[in-house]
Amino acid sequence: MENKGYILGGLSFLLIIPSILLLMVLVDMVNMDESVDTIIKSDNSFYISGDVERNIPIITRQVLKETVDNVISNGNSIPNSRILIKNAVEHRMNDLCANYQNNSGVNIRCVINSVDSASDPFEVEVNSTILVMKGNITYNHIVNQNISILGTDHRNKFSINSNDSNEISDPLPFIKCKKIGGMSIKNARISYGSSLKKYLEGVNGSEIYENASSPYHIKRCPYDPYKSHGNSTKLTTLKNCIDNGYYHESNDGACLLCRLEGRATCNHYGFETFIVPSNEGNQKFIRATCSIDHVIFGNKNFNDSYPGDSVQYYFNNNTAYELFLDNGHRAKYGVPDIK
Amino acid sequence: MVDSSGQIFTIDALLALLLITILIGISANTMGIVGDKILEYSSEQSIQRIAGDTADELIKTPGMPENWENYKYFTNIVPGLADIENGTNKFGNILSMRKISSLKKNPELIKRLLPENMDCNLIIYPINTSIPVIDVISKTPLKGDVSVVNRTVLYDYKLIDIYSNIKPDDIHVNGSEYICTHSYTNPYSHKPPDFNSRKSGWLCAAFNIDLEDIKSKDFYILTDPVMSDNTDFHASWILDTPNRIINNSQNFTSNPMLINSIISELSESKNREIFVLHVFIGGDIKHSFNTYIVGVPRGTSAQDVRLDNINPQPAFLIMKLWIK
Repeated sequence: MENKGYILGGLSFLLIIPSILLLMVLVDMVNMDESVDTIIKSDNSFYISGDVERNIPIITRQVLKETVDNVISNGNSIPNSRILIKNAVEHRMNDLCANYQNNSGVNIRCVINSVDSASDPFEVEVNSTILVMKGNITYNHIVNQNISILGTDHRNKFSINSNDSNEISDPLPFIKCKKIGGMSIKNARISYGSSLKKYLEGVNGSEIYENASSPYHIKRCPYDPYKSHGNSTKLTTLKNCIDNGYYHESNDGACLLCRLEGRATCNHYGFETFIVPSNEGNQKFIRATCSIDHVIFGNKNFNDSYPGDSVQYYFNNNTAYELFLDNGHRAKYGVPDIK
Repeated sequence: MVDSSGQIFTIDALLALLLITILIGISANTMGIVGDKILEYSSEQSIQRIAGDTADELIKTPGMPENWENYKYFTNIVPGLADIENGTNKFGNILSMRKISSLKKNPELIKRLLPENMDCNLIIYPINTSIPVIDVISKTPLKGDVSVVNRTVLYDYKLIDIYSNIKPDDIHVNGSEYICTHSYTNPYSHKPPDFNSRKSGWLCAAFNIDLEDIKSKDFYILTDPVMSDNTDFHASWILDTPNRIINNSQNFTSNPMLINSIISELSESKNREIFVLHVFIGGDIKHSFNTYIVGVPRGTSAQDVRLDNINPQPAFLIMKLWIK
């Protein structure tokens, strides 16, 4: 009886083996389903990450425009523009990510690592990390994007198309002169009234900047190389550049982010424009503070401001239109030296 | 003794062994079938996945470095076809024809995106059948499993560079801000159009061209839609520079007009020349047209300088992938 029992026990054990094998097959089948599910989840996460990435430039541009408009309306500089804009962009990206999470169930985060000046002064560089998590899938990548501060149609940088409401303006003149009073905006130009003259009080020839004007919107000058501004004897290109209110790349002029902090010069590659005397008065000067914005707004003690010699760029109806350029800027814009 | 040997070789035991053998046989067979299916499925998924990823990598990224197509030697570069010149379309499935041409000339570059044992071909079929098919990587698939990926993309057909464009529709909505150099000498005869009161006028834009491009490209002026020769209103254009103002205008023609001689004559600078395009347009916005100055590699057939080719063309990008 005992021997029989042993034999049947062994056979029973052998009978279990196929059951184990069948169980293993079943486990394999289940795992296969999981791997298909993983692929689907992974694709979904990838596309949502792309969506979030595409929204960064749009939101950054909105934040930049709103920050600039806010500074223009109250005339107050902001202490650390890079941090402030970074936080504002991140806050809005968080709202956007929360929407994605509610709609798709994908846990997504967008961390803005930095907002800084780009190598092109008419762009702002945004560095961000996008983290996507769904189930056991985690995906993260670092994105570096350069966002244009020019008009909305910046695909063709010399396009004449512009959408006024979307253009970003120069905040620096408002930080420097708004509280002095008398500033206004006419025909897309900042008219300083008496504010600039008062700002320059104590500087020789400050009277010439009574009713001066400068461009309101930031627009890249198409007359590049800049030396061509002074090509013709009549300085037609220089006049046309002033009339159209263009900005020029500059090593000395501040970038947009530093302008928001009230600085006219900075270590970044920035831009500059002409602040043109009105030429309405009878007073004529041979020499006055150089008519470049970063020179005029150099600093409050005028240590950075320096004089320039008169350049008559247009003559009409007995009125000579002039501005003042030092030798360095004369060379940059190809304006002949005074002999 | 009798009992113990008899017990081992009973009919019950033989039947049990038979049953076990049958069960193991069925299990082994089932496992074999399922195993084959898993292998087949995972292999298919793997090829399909690699094909999909490779196509996405090509379409959605410009490559490493982003301007790889401009390099003389392709050591350590990773190809990508996304157009980076159009900043806003960085992820919009717009492909750069320059990158496509570079990949066509150096088809071995695609191997940097594929596993070692795989090969592929890549063909772009324009939806407009009058445009020729681009055989980017021409290889015949081996017998066996071939995975096919089909993506809808946009691409610029020819190596056309737009140097200037004037779009009255946009100006009608947003207004023109460009103050033209002609307005200093003849302000009344060079006024912008007034679309509200249907008064014709001039639209102008400044642009520049590098001297290197002036030497190596053919330049054309063309309109969209194509100008009809039978219209009552004769739209015209002037190309000059801020310092050399020209007052004599020329009429548009129905075909793109070669303007190399004008550009060469106006070029005085050593490295880059600035031009101003002036277009005289009617006051009826419904009959307005866009004007382009484009550059194509010197020697490109005038027939290829087509309006269709200025705008990105929709096409199917089809990639076939197989194991070598």
